[in-house]
Amino acid sequence: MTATPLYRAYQLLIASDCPLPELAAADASDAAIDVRIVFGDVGEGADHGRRQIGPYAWCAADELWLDVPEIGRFLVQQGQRITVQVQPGADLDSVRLFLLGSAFGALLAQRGLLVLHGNAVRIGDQCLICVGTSGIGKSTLAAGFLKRGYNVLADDVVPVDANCQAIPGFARVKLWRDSAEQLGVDTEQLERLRPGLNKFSYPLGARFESQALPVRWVYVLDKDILEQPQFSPILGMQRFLTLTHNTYRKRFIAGMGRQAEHLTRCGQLADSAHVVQLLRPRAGFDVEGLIDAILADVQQRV
Amino acid sequence: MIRLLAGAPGLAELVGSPSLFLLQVIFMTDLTPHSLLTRNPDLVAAGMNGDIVMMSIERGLYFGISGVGTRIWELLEQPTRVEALAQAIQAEYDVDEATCQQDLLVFARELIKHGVVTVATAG
Repeated sequence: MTATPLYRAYQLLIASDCPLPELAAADASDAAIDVRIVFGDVGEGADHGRRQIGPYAWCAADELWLDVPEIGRFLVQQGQRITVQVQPGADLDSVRLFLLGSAFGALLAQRGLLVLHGNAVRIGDQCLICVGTSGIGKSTLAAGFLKRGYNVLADDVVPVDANCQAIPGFARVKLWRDSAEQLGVDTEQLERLRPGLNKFSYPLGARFESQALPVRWVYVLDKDILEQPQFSPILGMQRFLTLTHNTYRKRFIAGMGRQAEHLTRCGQLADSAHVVQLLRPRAGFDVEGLIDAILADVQQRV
Repeated sequence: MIRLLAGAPGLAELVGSPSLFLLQVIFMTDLTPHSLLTRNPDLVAAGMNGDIVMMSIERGLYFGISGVGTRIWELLEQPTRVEALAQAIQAEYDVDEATCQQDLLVFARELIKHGVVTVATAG
């Protein structure tokens, strides 16, 4: 029997039949394998009493079955196992994108983590998490922090544990072409996330923060007609709505029967981190100015 | 003091017409100062930066309680009569007896209406 390649991400030892070049390779060791990723037949969505929660997703307790048309089907179970059924003709880059996105997001939720949609940046011995809707500029902002020498813990999928620490993911951020240009990176040197997509995989190298760090600030990025970035604290029960709204693939949570745990995790984070709405001016995107403003705000909310 | 937070996760919604549903509740519920209020054990609650958010897993609804309501929720850790709640609140807050009793009955009816607490009038 040949050894299955081992990787490390999200502080988990992962044995994967599917090559995962963006993850750190791990040596065979005595450490127990936390997660197995195997190729295989995932059956039908409705199998095993699963309930449909969306056009392509079926859930049971601690189980998610997901169909990505023309790419693959994924079965995520008990926070320990992902079965991948690649559709004929699908490219593995696309399969990996959904494996490391939706499937891993569900796996981390099954392991009891609060999974936020955003990115985490080290500030001192703590970190900030920037959340917000897709396209609002989270990855551009992360790129700006990288350019200034800050480390990034996780991009897109940010798990937060019961101690309100952000768990490091793996050493890459996903950048649109314009964000890469802001960073002064030649996209010709980068790999596309999927064929034909203008979004690239940017390896973090030494800028990857591999330590779990306490989450001190959650900034909810949005834009408005403004001259200057504007910061407003979100307080009380509104924090729950904000954290829920920015929970990664939040429909999976109810489907997998984890709402109570999600509520508890949100309460813990709401009590230990500042949650701040950050509106940036709609016109243009002055990344440097925004980072200056965030760093000043961070100083005020220690 | 209590808000219906979400029908589905992520959706904020206020109760449409509080005065209207309160009227219904007043006629529905025989609530007196002697009524014993008990937390619904099926609810999951979490502190949320000073407020409390609770959810009914069964109904998929979230509720938020703020202000004095959070203290009342704490007091309800053990089944408690409305009059005992009123005494405790009066001792802790600057409020006269009549107003306290009145507000508490209104709040208790909201809790009952949403299935957050159950009521027993006997005894």
